[in-house]
Amino acid sequence: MSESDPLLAEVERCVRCGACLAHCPTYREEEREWAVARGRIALAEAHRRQQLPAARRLRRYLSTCLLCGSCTAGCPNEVDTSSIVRLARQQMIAEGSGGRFKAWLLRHILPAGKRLQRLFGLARLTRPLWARRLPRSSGLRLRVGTPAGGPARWLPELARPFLHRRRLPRTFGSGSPRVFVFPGCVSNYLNPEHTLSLLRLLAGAGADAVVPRGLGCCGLVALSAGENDTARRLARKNLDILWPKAGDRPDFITTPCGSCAYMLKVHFPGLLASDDERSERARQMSERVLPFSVLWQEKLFPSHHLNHSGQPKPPGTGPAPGSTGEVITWHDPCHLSRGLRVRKQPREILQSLEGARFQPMEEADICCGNGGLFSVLHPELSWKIARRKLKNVEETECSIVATECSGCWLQLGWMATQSERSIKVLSLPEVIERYRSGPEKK
Amino acid sequence: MNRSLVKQLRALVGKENVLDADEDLLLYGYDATPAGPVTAPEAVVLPGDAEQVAAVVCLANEAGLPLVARGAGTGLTGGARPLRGGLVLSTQRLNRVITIDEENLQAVVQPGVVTEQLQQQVEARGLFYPPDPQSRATCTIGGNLAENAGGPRALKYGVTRTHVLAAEVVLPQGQLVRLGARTVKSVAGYDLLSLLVGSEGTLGVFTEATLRLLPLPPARHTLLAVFAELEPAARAVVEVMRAGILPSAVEFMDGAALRCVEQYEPCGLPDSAQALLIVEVDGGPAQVAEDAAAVDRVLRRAGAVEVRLARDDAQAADLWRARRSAGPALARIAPLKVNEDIVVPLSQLPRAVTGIQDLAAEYDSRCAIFGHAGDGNLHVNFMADPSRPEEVTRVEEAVARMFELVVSLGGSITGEHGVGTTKQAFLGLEVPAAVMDVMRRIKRELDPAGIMNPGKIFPLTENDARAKDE
Repeated sequence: MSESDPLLAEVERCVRCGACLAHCPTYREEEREWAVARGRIALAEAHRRQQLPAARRLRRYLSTCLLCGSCTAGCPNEVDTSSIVRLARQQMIAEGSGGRFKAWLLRHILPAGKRLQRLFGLARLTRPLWARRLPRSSGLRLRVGTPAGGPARWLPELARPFLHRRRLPRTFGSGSPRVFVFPGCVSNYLNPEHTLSLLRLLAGAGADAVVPRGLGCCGLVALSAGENDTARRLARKNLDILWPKAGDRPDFITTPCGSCAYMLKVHFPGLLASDDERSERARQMSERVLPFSVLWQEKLFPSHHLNHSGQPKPPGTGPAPGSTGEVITWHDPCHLSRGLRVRKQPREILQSLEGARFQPMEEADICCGNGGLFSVLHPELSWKIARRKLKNVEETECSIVATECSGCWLQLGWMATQSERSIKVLSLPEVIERYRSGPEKK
Repeated sequence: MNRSLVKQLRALVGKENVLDADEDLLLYGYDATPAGPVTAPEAVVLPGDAEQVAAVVCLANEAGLPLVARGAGTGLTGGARPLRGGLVLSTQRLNRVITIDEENLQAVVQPGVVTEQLQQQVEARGLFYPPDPQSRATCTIGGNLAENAGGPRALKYGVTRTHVLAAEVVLPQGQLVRLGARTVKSVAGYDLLSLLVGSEGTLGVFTEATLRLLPLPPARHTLLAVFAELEPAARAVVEVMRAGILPSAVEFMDGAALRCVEQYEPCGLPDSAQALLIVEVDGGPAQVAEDAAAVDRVLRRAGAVEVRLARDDAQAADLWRARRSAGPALARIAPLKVNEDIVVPLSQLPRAVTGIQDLAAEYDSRCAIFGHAGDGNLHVNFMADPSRPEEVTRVEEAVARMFELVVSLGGSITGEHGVGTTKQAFLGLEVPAAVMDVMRRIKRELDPAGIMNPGKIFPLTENDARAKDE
């Protein structure tokens, strides 16, 4: 245990037993050694020891890791493959290898709030050039990022106006607890409803929920790509708003997206550890971050979770199959379920809904295949993984898939366009609202 | 590898099924063996049917290329590692369950089928494929056959060989043959199937297997017994078997293994625990309840300070937790773990366990023992820090003495893992020279070019492919 290099120190813990073969979603599809944690760890090690150059193939193999953490959960030594892969990607970037366009987007557009806003504005304006409207449902059929032989990539219509242009509560009033809400990019540009619904629920529960001005991307997509400097810049910027040096600090910080929550809670302290001015604040902030489901279930007493006789609704006691109640299933986002170990609360919430029946799906915690840039870089593989998810979703005979991550929401939305059934994909706050106001009010 | 060979391979199995980029070759040089050299093959071939396997083997013969068959790469003695470049033949694409024959209680499968997936499929039909090596969630039937894999249930149900009725095999010179018969009995000629099963890929490549299935036992009870001393626990194993009950598993852990596990994942075992037994009985519900009660009595009489009983799978999983965590817990505390899978006649178990602990003390090494004690099979783990050469040397000496002890007790140096490369030095302790000679002659006769997994079981010789290059 003499390694001081963080990548090699983690690699040393892998004994290549192959337990990950049974857990890796990409291995299930490809059945090649490069597509499983054991292989990727060996590749990262060889590159670190300068036995393999960062040629195109190596970069491609290492970019096929979803960072979903399934391997770590199934590993006898709990080897953290995600860290190893991130460190390897980081090193390849330091060596100057990698896609230029991707790097430009991540370094110069993502962290600059104004530029990102303009890019999305431009995208909305030029939509007919790169996508066309879907005939039967809302959303867009993309002309890019579509797998060969697979279905056209789906994207929701861009929001009009974007969330940051809306009138939202921006400063604390008198409610309690005081909560900062971090919308995340997808909710800001594509589906403001995730955040608006969350804000209504919090307000209804008496909380003082505020979307502070100036928040940017959480930076997870940059961190995953190995662009640590970019991720750090974003972390600084968001931290200074969410947990300022002086001024209003919230009791809790929440977000409709489990991946943003994971980034804020788990990675901000690490990224800012050597920032003298911010490391302590990042740690303090981290303690206040709660994914929406946890905040709702544990901090805001949910009187509406009780049934008519005032008793908590026991698990799985919705209307019987065949009755009028809608069937809802739940997809575990990787960063929520393994990243933050949150599994119980969303299920409790779904089980407590009046007028709906929660039907768990098989393999609910297997990655949906989005993986941030993964779905764009590897559309074929992404679709193969989504297809399995679709099968599991359809077997529940549900009409609604609920989840708590904007990446999963995008991927599941794409998946749902390929179902014979009519399946809605909703964020957890939207699902709660749907049943609080009665299932008839859509 | 020269371009024309790669081209010929591609013509045989398809372009995308021959891998020869450095990034790929690196990943087919290793398996789960803890130590030893890792060398990459020159090409990886993934055939799609038995005829392609035969064609690749023929080509390897013509070109004098070593060929190593590989399932999931979960072996522990280097069986799937290429030593002199050449080809790795991966069975990953041969992964179909061809039939599950409920009338004849048989399954016909390709070698790349994952053991646990087969088990789940047959269990869904009320059938049972018992062999349960530790890696069953990932290892393949082909690898299980090549290594004659065992597992806890071998005590009652036998090792992999017990469950193979027939197989289709590509012999080292490329002939595609069928061995055995799809019947429970067959004594037609030499039992070559038994020769091939457990031959560690040195005598052929399995392309299909007909496996014998059993009716799935409807009930299972699990008991966990804690002992304050080691020897009574080892003797209790013998007593359970003498009580007229054949458990489906009897697993054992010594005090050192227990303390590792308690640190890693506390299971609430008493501090005084020096040994632990897990006994599982299966069968009809009434019989199982009766057997469990009898085992409980025997364990208490033998000196168990505590016995816990699980009547369903969820409770059983809880009892198995300590045993299941043993491997990972040890891996976590010790940088280098020498895991030897010795086996002794059951009555010698107490002497083996105490003898090994004495050896560990004599050589001042840390040692933890756990395993499938019901059939006398123990996993002995010596731990050492690789950065301290003198510690490693002490472990090596202790291991050599342990093998001598095991053989003197009438046991075997490997119950499950095979010889591969890691146990070659000790094979002579157990196998007499005249028998070794027969084994070598069989190998030479069947594989005159020395292409099939050269350097496994026996050290590399001048008969093996590429000998002249060295």
